[in-house]
Amino acid sequence: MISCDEAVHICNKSQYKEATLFEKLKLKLHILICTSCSVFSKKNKKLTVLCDKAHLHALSELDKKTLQKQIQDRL
Amino acid sequence: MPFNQNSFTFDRYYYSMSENKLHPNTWVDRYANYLFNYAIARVNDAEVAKDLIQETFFAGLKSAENYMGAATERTWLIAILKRKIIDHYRKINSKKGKAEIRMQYTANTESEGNWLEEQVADPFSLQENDALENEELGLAIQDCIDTLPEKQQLVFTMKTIRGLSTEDICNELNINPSNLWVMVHRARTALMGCLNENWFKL
Repeated sequence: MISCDEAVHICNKSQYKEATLFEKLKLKLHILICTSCSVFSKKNKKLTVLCDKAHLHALSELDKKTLQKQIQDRL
Repeated sequence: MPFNQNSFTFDRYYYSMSENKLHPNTWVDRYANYLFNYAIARVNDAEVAKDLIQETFFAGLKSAENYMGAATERTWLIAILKRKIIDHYRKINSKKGKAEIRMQYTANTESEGNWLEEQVADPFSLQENDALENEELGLAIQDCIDTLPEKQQLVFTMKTIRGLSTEDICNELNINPSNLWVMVHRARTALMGCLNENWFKL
């Protein structure tokens, strides 16, 4: 049986589709017997859904640096 | 902003010290992504949005001495951005042939005549409301992300919003994967707590 720490780690990875099938199976089993991890897993999935739905955009680090420099130059 | 010999500016600066102050140095880190999402929802084009934010920051610098500290820095910047968005639409509309007014209510040639009734929003469609709600949600999430510690912000944004791979992020930030996952975990837990009140109804 895996520990809660490990379960949480797998749960986070699976939000980014980076958990293996075997890991997901271990997580499923753990969730069956652990209430707190089951709650965490539900919330985590919900957060992923919300982030997908929001269609967020972010400036790249390069863009941010350029902007920062332009502001600095004008100060 | 240096102290000016001009006492008028000095008074304003002094006044604004007691309330909200401008920190142009931190604008990019603190507000750029929020403004970017705000702009993109309205102009639908990343490049245009980027330019608008740049213009907003420049305009902010220019009129920094008019800032009285009555509103928060971000509200003030958003107000400038709104003007910039309006200007943008004015500009692109003025290019489209000023003398010509061509009204076509429908692009669909199959419908008979220009029946406006065909064009009204379907009250049962959730699409329009969804778009509004999603924008609100996006800004709420961005708001929460902005409260995270800098490193977590960076990792979460790269991983979740820009969708970079674990390997790329590790290389760029010079961290190992377990570091990355710890930060992703902390960021996610913090975000769940932050979004809890309004959006997390399980």
